[in-house]
Amino acid sequence: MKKSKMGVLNAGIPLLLTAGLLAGCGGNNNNGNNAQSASPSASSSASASATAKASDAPAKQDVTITMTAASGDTWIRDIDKEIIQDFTAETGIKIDLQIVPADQYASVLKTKLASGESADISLIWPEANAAQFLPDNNFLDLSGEPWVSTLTDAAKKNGSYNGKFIGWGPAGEDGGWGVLYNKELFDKLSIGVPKTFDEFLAACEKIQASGVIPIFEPLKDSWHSGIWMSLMGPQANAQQAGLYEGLNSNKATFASSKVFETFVDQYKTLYDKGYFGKEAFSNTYDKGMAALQSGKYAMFMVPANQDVQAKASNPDFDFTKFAEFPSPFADNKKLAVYDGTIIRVINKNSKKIDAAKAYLSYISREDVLKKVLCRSRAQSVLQGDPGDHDRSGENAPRQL
Amino acid sequence: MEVGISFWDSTSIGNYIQENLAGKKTAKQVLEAIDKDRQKLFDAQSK
Repeated sequence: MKKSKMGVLNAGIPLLLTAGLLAGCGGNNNNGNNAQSASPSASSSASASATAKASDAPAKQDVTITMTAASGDTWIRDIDKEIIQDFTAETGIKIDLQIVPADQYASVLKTKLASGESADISLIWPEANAAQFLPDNNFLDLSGEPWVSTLTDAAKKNGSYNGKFIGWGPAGEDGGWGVLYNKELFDKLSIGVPKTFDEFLAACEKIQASGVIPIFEPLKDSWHSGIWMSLMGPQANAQQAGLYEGLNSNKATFASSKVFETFVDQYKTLYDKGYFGKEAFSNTYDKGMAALQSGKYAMFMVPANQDVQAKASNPDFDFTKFAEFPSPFADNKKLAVYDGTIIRVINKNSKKIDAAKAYLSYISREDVLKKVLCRSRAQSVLQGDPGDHDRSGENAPRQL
Repeated sequence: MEVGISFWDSTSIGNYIQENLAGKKTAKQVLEAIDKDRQKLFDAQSK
């Protein structure tokens, strides 16, 4: 049975400020050549692989492959589009991007996979969250591809399902998710970090009374509500021994879980009290950081490594003024890691598997990956890279 | 320790949760809807 995260990581979450992360990027993040030449500490295996691939570049092909993704700036970013253009220029292979509204993406992809009409490459969530797309039936096993050996263990783990490597994403691994909050506002209102749901409610009440909307909740992106619920996993499993095992073997149900039911009720309580504000149903996730920085809102549920993930799109955000705490629903005190780092997988039934593989090979090449990482500020997935930080297990979260 | 739950679809689960916000489903009905969706995937996987 597939195991994944939503793991049990105790205590508070820090913002993982990673000043050294961009070592090797230099001052010009737009230039892949600069990035390549400024990365002397990359692993020899990765360098050799990149060199070999560059010198053995095949003749250009007149082929178009399709790639599908959800809408939203975390799926296909500007840098991803730029890399696609580079790839086409080098190989001749064109990529036809098929973007599906985020709130329909999972169901559309499942339908297309079932009918054999899926794109050559699909972007999907990793690990346990990949299961809904039946990877064994639908996605190519890439374990034997030579470039896989250059990836970090975290990236390999993120891209694996049922012991097979099926895809990868440049962020490499998942972070925990928690509630990012305005420390200055909490101090000003004498609010401590909430450790129970009642304390969370009291904090929201004080914040609302001060004229600030307590929580930026992007209800237009319904997946965000789903992630809130996923963060209850460790607490639910702790309260109901064997729940995960039962759910994964189809012997238990969500309806049997008091913790998940409590979450849904408490989430509605926040909404009913107006703590999400009047614009919640038109709010989208990509507007959250700006809304938080404006001071209009006090809290926003985001990944624990948001300082890395959101730095490129929010370069002026002052992360020193913010911190995170675990989701407090059902008096939870644990950080759950959501399997949300997007990976690219190849349709097992694609007629253009070689071209699709060429794209995944291209974006795994050291110089290309450096360009992506320098622009996106994501952690490296290349072994030996200066940005190859251990973000797994208890080394990732630290007490506030 | 790492454990997890297969067949998690945050978008559809979020939609059910928002039906609860709108008063269209109780919390229990939200969870039952999730179970129903998962059962379809278990069935598809076993084919």
